[in-house]
Amino acid sequence: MSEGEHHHHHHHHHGEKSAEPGVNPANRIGKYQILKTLGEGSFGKVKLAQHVVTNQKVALKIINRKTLAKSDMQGRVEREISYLRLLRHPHIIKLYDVIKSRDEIIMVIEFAGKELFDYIVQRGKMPEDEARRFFQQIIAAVEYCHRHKIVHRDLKPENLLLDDQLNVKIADFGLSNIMTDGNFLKTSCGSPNYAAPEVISGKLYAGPEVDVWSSGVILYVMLCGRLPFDDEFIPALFKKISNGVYTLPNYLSLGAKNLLTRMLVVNPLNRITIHEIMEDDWFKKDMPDYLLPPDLSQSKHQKIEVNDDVMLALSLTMGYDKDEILNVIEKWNDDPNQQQQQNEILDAYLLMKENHSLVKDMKQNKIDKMENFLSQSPPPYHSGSPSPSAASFGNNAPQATSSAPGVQQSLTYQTLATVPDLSTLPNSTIAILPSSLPSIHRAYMTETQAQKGLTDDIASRIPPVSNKKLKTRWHFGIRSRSYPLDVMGEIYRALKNLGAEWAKPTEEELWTIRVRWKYQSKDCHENAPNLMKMQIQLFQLEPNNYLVDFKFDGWELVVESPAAPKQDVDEMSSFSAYPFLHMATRLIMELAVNSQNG
Amino acid sequence: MVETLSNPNDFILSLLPEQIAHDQKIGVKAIRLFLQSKTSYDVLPVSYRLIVLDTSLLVKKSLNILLQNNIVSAPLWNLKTSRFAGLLTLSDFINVIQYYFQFPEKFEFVDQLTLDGLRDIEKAISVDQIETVSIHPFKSLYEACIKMLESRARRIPLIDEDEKTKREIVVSVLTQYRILKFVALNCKETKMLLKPIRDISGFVSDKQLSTCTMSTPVIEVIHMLTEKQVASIPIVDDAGKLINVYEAVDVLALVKGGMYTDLDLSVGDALLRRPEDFEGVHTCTMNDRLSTIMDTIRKSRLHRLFVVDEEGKLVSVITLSDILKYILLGED
Repeated sequence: MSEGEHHHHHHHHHGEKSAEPGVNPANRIGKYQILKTLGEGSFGKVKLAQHVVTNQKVALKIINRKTLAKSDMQGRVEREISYLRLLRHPHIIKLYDVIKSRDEIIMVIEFAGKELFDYIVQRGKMPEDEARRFFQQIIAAVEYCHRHKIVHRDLKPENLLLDDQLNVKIADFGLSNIMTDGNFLKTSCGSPNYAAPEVISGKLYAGPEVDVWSSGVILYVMLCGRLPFDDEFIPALFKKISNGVYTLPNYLSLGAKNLLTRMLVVNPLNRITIHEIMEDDWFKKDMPDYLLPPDLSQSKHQKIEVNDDVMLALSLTMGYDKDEILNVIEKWNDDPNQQQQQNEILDAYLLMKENHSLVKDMKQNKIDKMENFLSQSPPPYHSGSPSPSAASFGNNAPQATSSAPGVQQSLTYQTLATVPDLSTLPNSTIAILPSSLPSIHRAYMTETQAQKGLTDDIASRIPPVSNKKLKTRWHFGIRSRSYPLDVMGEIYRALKNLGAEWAKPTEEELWTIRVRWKYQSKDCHENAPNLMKMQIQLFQLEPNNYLVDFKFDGWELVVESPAAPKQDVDEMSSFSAYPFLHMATRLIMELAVNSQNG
Repeated sequence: MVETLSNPNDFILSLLPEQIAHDQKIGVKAIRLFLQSKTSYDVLPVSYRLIVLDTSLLVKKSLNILLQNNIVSAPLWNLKTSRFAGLLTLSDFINVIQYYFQFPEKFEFVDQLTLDGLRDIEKAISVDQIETVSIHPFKSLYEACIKMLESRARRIPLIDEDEKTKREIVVSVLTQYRILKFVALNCKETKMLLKPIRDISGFVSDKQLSTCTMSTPVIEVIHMLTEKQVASIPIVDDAGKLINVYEAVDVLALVKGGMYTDLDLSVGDALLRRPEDFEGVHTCTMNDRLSTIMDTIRKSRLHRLFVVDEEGKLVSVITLSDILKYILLGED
């Protein structure tokens, strides 16, 4: 058992259940004593806590499962958080552990007390050398994560922390991936000043380029002491960002100006890449060795060695089966090009291989059959090193040359760095065939008719099809100008006609109906849910104008007594492609019939 | 270096053929890895419209729905089996047209035909059945591409399973165009594909191109589409110059409203029905490179490029399948 036991009261020697003196066990999560609430982040509460044995301070990020993406994504979310745990970089807040309960996912993370931006606010704009040091640390951390296929997407002041030695620690890497779209939008709207144009315009795909933009804004703020894009009126701010309009103060050096201009480029394809930044002369000045990315070129087709400790650690943290891992490595070694969907396991394996401390902890953990908490305690702090020492990270650096599949992609970017922008080649001969354009074709047809001496001008008789007039208009819910109580009455009547059941409404939720319907087809598998739940809500849009909104509320399985009356057997003997829309449609049709009769 | 060669053409001309070939190889491999690392879900936008048709719907109504919504295919749902029932594509409408042309006395039958009945039509004129290939959206794009190439389909439905009801869910339909556009938007490596297409072995192969002239009856052109299993027939003049193209999608405008009376039109007249916003046919020459072709895909909607010579004479065609096939299997 742990050494911590010696501190316990002798008569309370019941092992782990006993509490520290003077400590409220209710304020404890795992082996962490909660000290205070640090704040409410975009992903839930953040609390400061202390490991009860080592006294190491940590932050606990408590994610309520309800705020997570759709419930069916839960498995993926947990997997992704576990993946984040494998990341180790001196300038990224470490995720030490993940504690999962039914309602919450608790991330135990490194605690850094200060924010970079409080520092800027105190000091005003920085000398270029000082800003460069912070910027190099930020870019090195971003490069490390991109190499491991993680994009931050939400780099902003709140996520840039400082430790006691004034080293940057980036928080929340990879978290934007696991949130629902809606939630992400909400949080990023908090400070859109740092968001890339393609993020605010909701483009198809926001890749690693978005982090380059945000880093550019951060560099600008450090160098100039103000935001490049700012406006109190959000639409105006969005416009400034999407047009990429900002000014560069004259006091900036040419090198700094040049780098900023290449980072704050609206088109993500023309924006400088992380690797190109690392090649930039202004950036490279006084770059410490430990921040250089590993040389990736030698490792392209290197075989992956099988290490039992790494495998053990991986199956403990990520839950992969050992055979599964072995299988993937063998496949890779047989033919590195054949890798397809199993990339995920391989990536995790290579990350784990670099993460020596975690592998060691996991092995120790297994050998000693100890309870998890000791191994999850943060590694001791490296005192005496003013900057992150080469010793703490240097261990990892040589191993980082292992050949993650994603790494090969970054190799090609280095080749690309020397190629000018070829997207618009003047000597391209790609063209639109003029005679294929409808107006020219029509003229051509009329002309050939005339040449043939045909009087019947067929061209004027055949008009083009038009799609425009037929455009369907879509509406949300149904609108009504009746009295709200009448509307509710109509809905209850329609529900009754359709054989639905509903819960008695409470005082607070007078305008919400919680309803359930039988929805089951004959060929249902056993234990398939047979009731669909729906929430119907009445909103006031403006005086005398109301909206009835329908919301899917999940499924339920209720075992019926055989005597229960069967409702609508014919109608429900089959299963629609969209059961919720199907039921909502039936309800709307029923409401329409009622309103016609009344 | 970037500064010294500001003109991209000069830069390319300064490259040795070996260097171009080497970069091309690396570029193709990188795009392939990209396709392996992304899933169909990655391609889907945050919100989109999906239209699924019930198989009990009349064929003529389904045609109107496609035209109204400006789409060319729709997943089908069979309410009786409560399952996904394949993909309605342009070939199905072409089959109906051919059936009607063979059996003009069955007008009543064709008029009242439901999507369920398409199978009978397919049997009657002995053509391929409705496409039922599908893929799970969490599978890699690479697998989706392979499946499409194997089945010769240009689009593939994404089918998932509802966790609670264990029923199939039609998530979306992935097209070759969407995949290539996604690659063009996100893969900088497309800029490395600098080899002129004439030098890519087997890429612009000597395909036996079927052509027609402006006066060819449109029904003959429609027959050619099925016989050759292609999605377009180029229209050339007496000198072999390309002047227009009849595409499978053009049959929708031809039979709109369930009218099958226009089948005796010439293809030139039939093309007068084309919507006015049609953006035109893309052409290129043997000197063009995949880098610029991909850039064109990024900027505009295109489904094939016709290769012409200096005089505008038709040489060959490059379809999206050709490009995907090259990215997936070429340069090995």
